[in-house]
Amino acid sequence: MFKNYIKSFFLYELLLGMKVTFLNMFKKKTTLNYPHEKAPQSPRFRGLHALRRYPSGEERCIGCKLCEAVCPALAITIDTEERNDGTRRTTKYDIDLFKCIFCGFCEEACPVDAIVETRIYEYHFEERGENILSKGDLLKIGDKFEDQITIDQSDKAQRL
Amino acid sequence: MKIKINNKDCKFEKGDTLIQVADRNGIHIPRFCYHDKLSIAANCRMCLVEQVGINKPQPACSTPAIENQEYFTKSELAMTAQKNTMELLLINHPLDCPVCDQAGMCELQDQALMHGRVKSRYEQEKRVVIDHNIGPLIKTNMTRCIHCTRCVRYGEEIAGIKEFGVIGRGESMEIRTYLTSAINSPMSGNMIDICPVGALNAAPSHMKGRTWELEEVKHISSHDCVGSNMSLHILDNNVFRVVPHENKKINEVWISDRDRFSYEAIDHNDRVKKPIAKINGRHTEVEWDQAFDIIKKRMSEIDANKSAGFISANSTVEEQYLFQKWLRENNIDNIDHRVSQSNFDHNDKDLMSKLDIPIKDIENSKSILLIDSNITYDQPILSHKIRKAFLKDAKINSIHTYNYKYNFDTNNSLLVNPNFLSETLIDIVEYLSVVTVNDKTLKNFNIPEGVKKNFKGLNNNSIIKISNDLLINNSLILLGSNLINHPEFQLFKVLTNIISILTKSHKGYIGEKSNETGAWLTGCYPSKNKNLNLDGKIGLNVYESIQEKLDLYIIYNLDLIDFYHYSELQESLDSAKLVIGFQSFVTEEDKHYYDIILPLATTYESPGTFINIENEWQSFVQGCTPHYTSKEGWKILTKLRLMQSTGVDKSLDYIDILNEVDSVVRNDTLHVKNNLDDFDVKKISSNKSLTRCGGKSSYYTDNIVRRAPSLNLVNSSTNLVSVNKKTLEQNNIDLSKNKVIVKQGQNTLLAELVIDENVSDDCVYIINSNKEHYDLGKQYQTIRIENV
Ligand code: SF4
Ligand code: SF4
Ligand code: SF4
Ligand code: FES
Repeated sequence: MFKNYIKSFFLYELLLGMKVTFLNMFKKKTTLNYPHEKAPQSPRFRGLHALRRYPSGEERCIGCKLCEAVCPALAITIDTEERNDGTRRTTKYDIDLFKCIFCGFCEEACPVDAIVETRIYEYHFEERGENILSKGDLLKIGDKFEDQITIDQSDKAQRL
Repeated sequence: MKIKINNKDCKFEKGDTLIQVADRNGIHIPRFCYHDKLSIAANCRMCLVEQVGINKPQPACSTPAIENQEYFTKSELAMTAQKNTMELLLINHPLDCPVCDQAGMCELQDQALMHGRVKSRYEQEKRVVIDHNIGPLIKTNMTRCIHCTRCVRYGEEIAGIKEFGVIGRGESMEIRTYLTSAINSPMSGNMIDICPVGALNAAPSHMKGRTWELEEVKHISSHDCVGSNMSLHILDNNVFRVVPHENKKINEVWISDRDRFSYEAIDHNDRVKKPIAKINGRHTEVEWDQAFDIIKKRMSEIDANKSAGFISANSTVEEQYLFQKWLRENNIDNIDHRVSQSNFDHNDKDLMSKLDIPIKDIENSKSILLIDSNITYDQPILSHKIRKAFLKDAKINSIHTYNYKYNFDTNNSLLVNPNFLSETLIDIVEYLSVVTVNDKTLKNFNIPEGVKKNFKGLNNNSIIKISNDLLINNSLILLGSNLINHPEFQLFKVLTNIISILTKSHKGYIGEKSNETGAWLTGCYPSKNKNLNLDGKIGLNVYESIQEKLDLYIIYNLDLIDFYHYSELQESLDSAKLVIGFQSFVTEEDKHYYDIILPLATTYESPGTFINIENEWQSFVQGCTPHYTSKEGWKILTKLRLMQSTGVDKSLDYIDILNEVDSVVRNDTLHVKNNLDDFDVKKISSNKSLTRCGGKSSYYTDNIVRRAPSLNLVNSSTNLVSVNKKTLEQNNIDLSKNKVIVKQGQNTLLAELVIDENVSDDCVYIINSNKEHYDLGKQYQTIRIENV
């Protein structure tokens, strides 16, 4: 009883807590100074989508619509046509980023590794409608980050 | 008798194979080569199951069930066997599902998922097979073929035209046409359905969509009198493709190519997209309301007695019923649907196109006589039934004006000149009158004097043979649909009827269109019919209406070339005050005859009912909503009725119309008296001059088929004229040239000459397969042929 009285008089619990805080001042930091510092990402990180090309420049997507079919959020819309060389290509490939839940199923379903999710997670929209990525947008993203995508894809392939 | 499959007791009949027993009991056994309509090949080995007591797995499709035996379809032994088979099949398979049209409805995919290994162990090269072009309807990708030989067996057994075959063995085995020729069977499309993989796919829909995007709607074919059941696959309000829908009573699991590919016409260039009215002499697109107002105003200016309406026998029962109702409410009695008929004698007899027996019983006939019927191409499903009868050893005979190619063999066939066809039929009656003279059951039936007076003694052996075959129990006479153009068409029907009475055989007048029965029952012909509440007025038939040069013509869902009296019709339309068209398609040339054209939905875009030749009512719903601004026929006609007559209920909707049609028409059996006593054969034509014959090409039969691009590639629309050598020589034609000029009246046509012994003497055989053939003149008329 008296012991408790002494303890509360000298703010023992508080000091105990302060001690933890105080000791942490000498430990290594765990937070990051975003945006100057960034967290490391897994090669399987599922960020912004991209459509890839073959090294020859030919787009990979063959318009099979498997990604459209598998997408649980119904975020993908595809129109296709048969090109003169007898192969099927998309005439329209839209992803609505407002609908997308970044599950990565589309990437999983794609038989030719055309649609992939890149490591990009920093983007914003200013106008209504910008949330829909068209085929052109997606191919541009793909072209821009192809080097990184290639590395990540081969990493994934090895872990299969 | 009983066996046990997977510990379940299953009953079976003697001769059943395991797979049949399993199917009946809902036990799934994987298979590729087995198909319940085809013979057993047992070459894919996918159906291996374990039989207790035997240490090797057995193929379920060819192993007969044995009393009290036990089988397992999912045991260790069976599963490994199935897995191994699957692995073998996939070794040479390209695994290109993402670009394959079959993906999503592929038996190989499904079974690889259920019975295959997860991972492929094969890393060597795969084989590639070169594709051959086999025509505009089927797209091949033979690298995907798993050699189940279903398509080969289909050709041999069902289509009856052997086109595909197996070439090579083992690694170099190939399925292909023997002479890299195109497929020619009128039912070839079914190979697409029975091919378990994507080796054979429909060419018109190739690469245009994926199976899982499609919606299925059940529909009835509108291109022949059979009423095949089919499913429309709809993608974005367009018909993407058509596949058969099983109906055991009618088409089983097959449909003809015509039914399968004619949907392509829906968006043809000729499609009427908006209501069109002639304003100040120029065709202008108008709004619907405007068009209705014009019709109302201009129709009221014209005497009802000087008006006529023609409706297609391909329109639905509902449309036909409303059409005649609308016209009769406006006191117009000149209504007809028999536009391609040339002759209207003996109309008081029971001459509606019909079949006495159900379609499915044709295969049980013991003897069949075809009268000038190109049945294999015109009604492929009926031909398939006859083929089944043929395979059951029925005697098939044919009397024809051209040696048609059938997918069955005929016992006796008799080639006659169309001008002597009625004489030939009377000869049969004459012979029968002699042999049946002692038949007590026929004592109430007298052969009409009008027929008897044409008896002239018999000297043709084939006629005797053919007639004798008809005396067999359970025989059938079919009168072909091509004859509809023949000036003695009505006479042929009556003679067929007499022959069928004398021989106690069944008969069928095969109709040309899908809903002729409907047109008769709904009263789309100028006659009185008590159930339709007509006051006994009888109007003019189509020929009279055209001859009379009336003021108003209403043409519903018909091209002008559908009319036998095509050239007269053109003149009458020119002189008419008002011509109204309810049309899905109008050609540029035909357009100027019309004052108003209302865009009509095609059968694919509207609901309705067809009554087929065996009087089977089959209703269907709308496949897709009408394209452009066209509207369903029942809506247009109801609107017109509401506008023009008082006393029509304002709240009428489709269900009311269905109910009305049901109560008025369904219980109506046309009670036409069939008393043959007063029957008289008018002068029989014995025209000895050169006559045109041939009928219509099966891909040129109606306004939809005519415009289907892929079918039109099959139907070579070149101008071919076939004549036999004797006739050519008699007409002093230079046989070394391959061109001739044919002339009918003022009209001439330069055509390619085919020397063809299948044509009867003194005949020029021209199949109507393009507009020029109609412009030349009518079938069964005198024709001249000259050197170029
Ligand atoms: S990540 Fe998932 S939700 Fe987003 S588009 Fe792909 S499948 Fe659809
Ligand atoms: S991105 Fe891939 S899955 Fe999607 S349509 Fe193209 S090829 Fe098919
Ligand atoms: S083409 Fe199709 S049906 Fe014919 S053998 Fe090959 S897999 Fe079988
Ligand atoms: S289904 Fe039995 S062997 Fe092919």
